[in-house]
Amino acid sequence: MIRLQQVSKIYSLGNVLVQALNKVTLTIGPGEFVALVGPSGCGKSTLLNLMAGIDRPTSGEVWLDGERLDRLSDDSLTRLRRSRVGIVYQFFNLLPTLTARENVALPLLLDGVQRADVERRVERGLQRVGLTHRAEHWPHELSGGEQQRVAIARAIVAEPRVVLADEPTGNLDSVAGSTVLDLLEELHQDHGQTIVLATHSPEAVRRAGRIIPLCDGRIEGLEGS
Amino acid sequence: MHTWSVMRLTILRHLWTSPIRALVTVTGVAIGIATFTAIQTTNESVLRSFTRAIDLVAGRTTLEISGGELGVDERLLPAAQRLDGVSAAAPIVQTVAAVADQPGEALVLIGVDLFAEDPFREYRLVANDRPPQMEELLSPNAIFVTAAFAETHGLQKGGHLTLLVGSRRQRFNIKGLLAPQGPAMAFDGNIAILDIAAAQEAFGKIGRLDRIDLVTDERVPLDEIRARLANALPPYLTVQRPDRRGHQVEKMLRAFRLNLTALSAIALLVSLFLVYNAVSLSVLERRRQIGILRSLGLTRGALAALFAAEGAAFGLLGSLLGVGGGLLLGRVLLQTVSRTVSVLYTYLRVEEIEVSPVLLLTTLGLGSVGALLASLAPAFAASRIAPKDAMQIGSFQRTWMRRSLLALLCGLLLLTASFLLTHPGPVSGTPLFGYLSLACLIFGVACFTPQLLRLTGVGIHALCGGRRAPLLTLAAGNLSSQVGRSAVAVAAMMTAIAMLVGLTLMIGSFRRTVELWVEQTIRADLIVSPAARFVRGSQARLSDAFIERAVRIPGIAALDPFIGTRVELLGQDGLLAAGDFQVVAQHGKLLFRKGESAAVLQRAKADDGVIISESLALSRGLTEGNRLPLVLPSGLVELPIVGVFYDYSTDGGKVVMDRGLWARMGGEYGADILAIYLQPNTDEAAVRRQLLAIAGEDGAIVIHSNRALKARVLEIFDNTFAIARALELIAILVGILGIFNVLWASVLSRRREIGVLRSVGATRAQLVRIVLGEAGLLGLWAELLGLLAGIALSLILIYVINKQSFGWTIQFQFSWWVVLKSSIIALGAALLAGYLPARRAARLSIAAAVAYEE
Repeated sequence: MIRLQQVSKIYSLGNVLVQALNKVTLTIGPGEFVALVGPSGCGKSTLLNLMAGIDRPTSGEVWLDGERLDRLSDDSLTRLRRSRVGIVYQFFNLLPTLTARENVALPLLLDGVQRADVERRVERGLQRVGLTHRAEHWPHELSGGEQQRVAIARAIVAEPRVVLADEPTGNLDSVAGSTVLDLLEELHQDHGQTIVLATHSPEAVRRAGRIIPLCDGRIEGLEGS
Repeated sequence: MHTWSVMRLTILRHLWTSPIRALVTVTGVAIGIATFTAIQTTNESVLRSFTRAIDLVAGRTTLEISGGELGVDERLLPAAQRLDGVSAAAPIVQTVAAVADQPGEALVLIGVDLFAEDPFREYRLVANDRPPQMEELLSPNAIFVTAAFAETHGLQKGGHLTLLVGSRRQRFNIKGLLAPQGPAMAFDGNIAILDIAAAQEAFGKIGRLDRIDLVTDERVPLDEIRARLANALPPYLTVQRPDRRGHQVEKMLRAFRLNLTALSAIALLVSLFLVYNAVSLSVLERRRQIGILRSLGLTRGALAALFAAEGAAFGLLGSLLGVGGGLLLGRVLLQTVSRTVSVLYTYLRVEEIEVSPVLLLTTLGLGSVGALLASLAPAFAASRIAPKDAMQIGSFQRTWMRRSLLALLCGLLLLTASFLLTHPGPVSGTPLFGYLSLACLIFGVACFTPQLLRLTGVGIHALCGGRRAPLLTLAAGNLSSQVGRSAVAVAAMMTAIAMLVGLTLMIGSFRRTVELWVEQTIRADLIVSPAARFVRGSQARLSDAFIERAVRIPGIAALDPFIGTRVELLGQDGLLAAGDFQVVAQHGKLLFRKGESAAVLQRAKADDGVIISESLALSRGLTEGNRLPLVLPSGLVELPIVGVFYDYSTDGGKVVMDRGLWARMGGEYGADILAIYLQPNTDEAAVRRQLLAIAGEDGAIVIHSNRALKARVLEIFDNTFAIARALELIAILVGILGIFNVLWASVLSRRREIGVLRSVGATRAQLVRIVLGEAGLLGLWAELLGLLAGIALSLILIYVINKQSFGWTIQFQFSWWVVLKSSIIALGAALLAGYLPARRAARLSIAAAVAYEE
């Protein structure tokens, strides 16, 4: 499903080069629930960005569903993100000028999906996160937990096989955090979606089927990972 | 508090981190100031050059006796000389001659009595030049040109210079070159001196002078001598100090200069919108910083001062650059303006721009203080932000949303004020309330932009329902969520578009009115005039002999010799003229306010009455049936006004009488223009040939066909408005910078949103379309509001400002072309301004953008 082969990522900050990932090799199978753990700055978000095709490695190969992402054009990567990958962020990242329903519909609208189909799928997405009654509200009218559930609905509305979540509970209280984790778990169990989440939360780690510890851009315990 | 340190750490560092916006804002201010400086410097250079020329030619003259173009009888000279208190008197004849075979080049010719000149002026020949012999000085074709003129035209002492004087080519012998001293420095050296007797003959002014210069006894008060002279001289003559002529020219040019100043002020206003915009963006972007600074103890006043200082810094930098640019631009404009003034008002020769330190300091102050004032509102708004609100995203925008209703109310009040201000009349001949009305109109319409932008977002959102046109919905949503920044950019662009639409409609309506007027009033088949008359002040005339011989040319049905003299008409400069009313009634046509052309003209001829131009009637409150007092060489006469006619050939007022009455009142002979009506089926070319034959080999006449003359009139019209059209484009350019600034800032501040859009599947092309959609919506509103404001602006220009300044009736004419033109320009400019921000949005790194913390 997801395979990283000797992936390195180096950022330049002014004159300084920062190695975010150092020759990481990793495979995540279909339907896995994986937690990436490690201290801040260890490379968790970078790894998720590479898997989502929103960043490119400095070296190495990134494969998703048999396609080598680091060689795809920007447009191909964009199309891939519309339908095959869902992304959930720590800060929800809903567009403030769209209602909850419109935020959820956005990936489908950008993809030119038929209106009737959009409405049906958005409704289903909102039902899955339990927010049908808040569909017409603006982001600033929703609580943090609700905003994150809308973000999850947006991530899954195109029914991608992979959902990537970067600290999805990092900005929520424990009750809202548990609800979000319940949802992700449900996606994994009921729909067989592959979930990869970067987290500091012990609860999230507990729910994951596999834990990948990262430190200083490497997978801990694996020499030359 | 170490204000400077805080300013350095907050404002200057921020500017350093937003170099593009700082650059664009400073450039915008620089363009506005450059335009303003250029127009002001040009205006001032033109006037100063004229007054300096008067001073240089006047020399030590303390008083002058003149009768305008009516001239002074030379027999009055001894009387003036003998008058108690007059130390010396010198006769002067003066004209403007065209240089033969050099189109557009002219020379001021001054005829002087060289033996009477000593107390008045000094002439010096260039070094090594042998003083001329007496007979050389007095020979009929002797002329002295300046060394500068000789050098420019490749002339030398002993050579010849052919000039178009009157209606003839005349060859003069250059007897000496004048060094740059005294009168030789006037008109940038385009001046020549000749003996008075020769000049009178050459200019066709035998027995007449243009003025008598006087040097008076210093011990006797000038007013006393003036009073003595007034008693001794005929009433049509004026006795004044030479510099009074400068004031008269200043008065004559006032409306022309004021219009240019008003137009350049609009460019300046648009650039000040840009400062307002930039400081607003700064406040929006740094709301967190504002919160931190406030929590650290910075007072509201100090915070406001910081942002106001930012605006003032933009203003000062822009003004410094603008003043430099304005001087360069002024050099370019100077030629156009001096040419227009030479054709329409008075001969001028200005080569060098004159830099007045006072003007430069005033402009610098205007730019800086204007920018400071423009930044006060956002600075005040920043100071009102509570520290806790500053940390909340969007709180400032929500404040703006609340304010948009207030702005709408202000807009309505300003528009009402604008309407009411169109009613009062001029203040000392200046349409002061008209200009205020324009300002209220522009600010009033600008006040509508916040609410309209909000409604746009809401409207498009409601229409699309989030189910269709997602890119447009996003674009509209972005604009309405950032009302504060978007509204000012729309206001700036709207002002530029309003100026474009207003001027285009006004100029178009004016042109159409003139076209109709020309079409209906220019009916002669051929129009003959002296070639030298292309410039004001030439006074060149066709002789009576020429007219008498022309009458006898076969195929000519009728002739109308038109002759005019510039005189003072009820305290203002105007044209007193005569034509053959019988011929005009039969063959030509004038457009009268009341009555049919032929009937009015015949009645005027029969009643010994006059017809007057609409501008004179309006400015002096005259109407049909009134009596017009005229002070003429024959004395004071009061003539009945039989008709008021529309006339666009002069803004100083015109009085026309029948040629018969003119002759009885001692008017001069000859004609400025000879309108020729041909019999049917006459060979026009054959008549032309015969006219040229009559003029002779040395004749310098121009023969226009009916069509060519109409085209020439419209050509002069178009040239007159060339500067106005250039100013339109400058305002548009500044408007583009405003939209660019907003979209650039918008893209920067929405990095995270853009990243999210990209991460959920928006392609780069879609991102470009969203930003261009925003630009398009900004452009669309700027166009719609600008169009409405522009139409209102043109109505104010036509019915208030032009009417009060020049007294011309212009028929308003709407043109769909202006809608198309302004739409293309507004949308094109907006999309152009949006292009770079759109590209930037599309190229943002998604990973970096989603990690960006607002």
